[in-house]
Amino acid sequence: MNNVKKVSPEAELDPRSRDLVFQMRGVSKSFPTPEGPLRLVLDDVNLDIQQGEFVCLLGPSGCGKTTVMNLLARFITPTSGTLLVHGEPLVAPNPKHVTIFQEHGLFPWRTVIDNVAFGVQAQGASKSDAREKAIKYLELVGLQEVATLFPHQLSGGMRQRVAIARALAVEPEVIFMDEPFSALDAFTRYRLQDEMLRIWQDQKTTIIFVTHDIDEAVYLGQKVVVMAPNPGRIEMVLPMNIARPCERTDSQFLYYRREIFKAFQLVHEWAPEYAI
Amino acid sequence: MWTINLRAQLDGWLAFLLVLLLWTGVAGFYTPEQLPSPLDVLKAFPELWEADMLGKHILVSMGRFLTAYGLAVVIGIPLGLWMGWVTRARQALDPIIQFLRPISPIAWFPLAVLWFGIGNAPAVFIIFLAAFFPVVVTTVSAVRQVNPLYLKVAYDFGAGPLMVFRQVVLPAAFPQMMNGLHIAVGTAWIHLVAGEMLGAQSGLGYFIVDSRNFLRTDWIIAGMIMVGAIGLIINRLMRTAERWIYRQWGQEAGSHE
Repeated sequence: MNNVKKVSPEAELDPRSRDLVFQMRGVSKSFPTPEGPLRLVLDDVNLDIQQGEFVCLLGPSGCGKTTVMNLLARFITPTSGTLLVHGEPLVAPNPKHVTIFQEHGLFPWRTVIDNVAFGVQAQGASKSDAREKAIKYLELVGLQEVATLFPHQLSGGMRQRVAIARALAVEPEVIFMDEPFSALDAFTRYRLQDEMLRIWQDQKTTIIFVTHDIDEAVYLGQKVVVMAPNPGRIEMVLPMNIARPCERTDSQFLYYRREIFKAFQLVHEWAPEYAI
Repeated sequence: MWTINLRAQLDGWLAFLLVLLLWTGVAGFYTPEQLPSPLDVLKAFPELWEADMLGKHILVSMGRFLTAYGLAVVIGIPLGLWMGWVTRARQALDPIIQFLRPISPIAWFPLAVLWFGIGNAPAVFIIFLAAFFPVVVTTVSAVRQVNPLYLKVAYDFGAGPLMVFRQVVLPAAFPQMMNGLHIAVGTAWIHLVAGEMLGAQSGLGYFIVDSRNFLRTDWIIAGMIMVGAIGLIINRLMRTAERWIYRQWGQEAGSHE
């Protein structure tokens, strides 16, 4: 495959890079197991993420894709290797890097608008300023009509859109999304994928999107990071040269879809003991 | 909703009527001093009301109850929040709480009289103990059971510890804390009568004991009915408040009655 762009471990780090939000070189992560010995969950990961890029981390469970996200979000620290954020080894989590979780994590005691305002308030804005921002971003996700409802009065898809608005309202530099649509039905998922693409093109935010859905990764990702398990590692990085939004029946779409299927076929050949 | 309630209530009223009939039948075999009939007890109410014997005791009991319960809430909730949120506070204080909790508040009575003398204080102290432990214990577990995802989200947005506690932990724990307050109302009211029977010179508990001294069994039962009725009303009020909060929080009403 000639368009596979995997960052080599020897690739030089650029400490003053403004365009590269994240640079990972030789990053590994081990967790202690109940039995005692450390388990290697991520082995020698090398990855560059550009400013404004939509990157999908794709792979089966156990491939370490969420671990990569957690490392980038600084929820955890690498066991070894280098991770630079804007060319600098950042220690603390950055409030301009926000995460959207699978179970949205909306506060049930707050109305929709106050949920969206929460993040803005947490970053020091006054209540009225936060609400103004909240309205703006609720309009962006098309939920201004339900601003005064409580989360339990909304559908699953609407809740996830509120979570997206809450993340956008702090005008983040990076949004991490951890399988945000996997609990939704297929039709809602398609709609939200379109919405996410529109928002990304509109806001130019860097998006790191974790998924185990090949179609979702191809449809959304400018770059798809294909990962494999045992131990978790990057198999290949595929840049998607598709105009967005694309048709899901498009030949380009199907081509990349097939490429990724092939990639996972390779995984099966090399590790036949792997089972989903 | 009303028709369903009506149907459910009908059986309740029927059973109640059956108990009254049974009571009337059994009372026929005894003297009114041993077991008065329901009608005798009913007749005691206007008598007691006119002599202002019941009303003043009810007022005194309510005063003690509110004082003791209020103290238990004012001390128990902050203590429970602290123990729930600060691990070291919990590790330090939890053994003491768990040790004192199974001791019946009644067992404190001799000490309470030695410390506070006869009067309001020992009864208030016993009701306080009866409410205090359920409030503390449920508040601690309410705080500890706050969905970790809420905390993760809040910290992710860069919220400080004070904001996380006030805007996330408190409201997230609130429904379960309310449940604790509901349980505490019940235990406090049960111990009110016991506390007043032992030390006080007024109140519903005292009235019941005093009626026995006069051999007025109808008054004893009238007093018991008042205790039950007021307890029921307080419980209903708490349940309504609790349901409202659960609805507001978007959760199903608790199964606790």
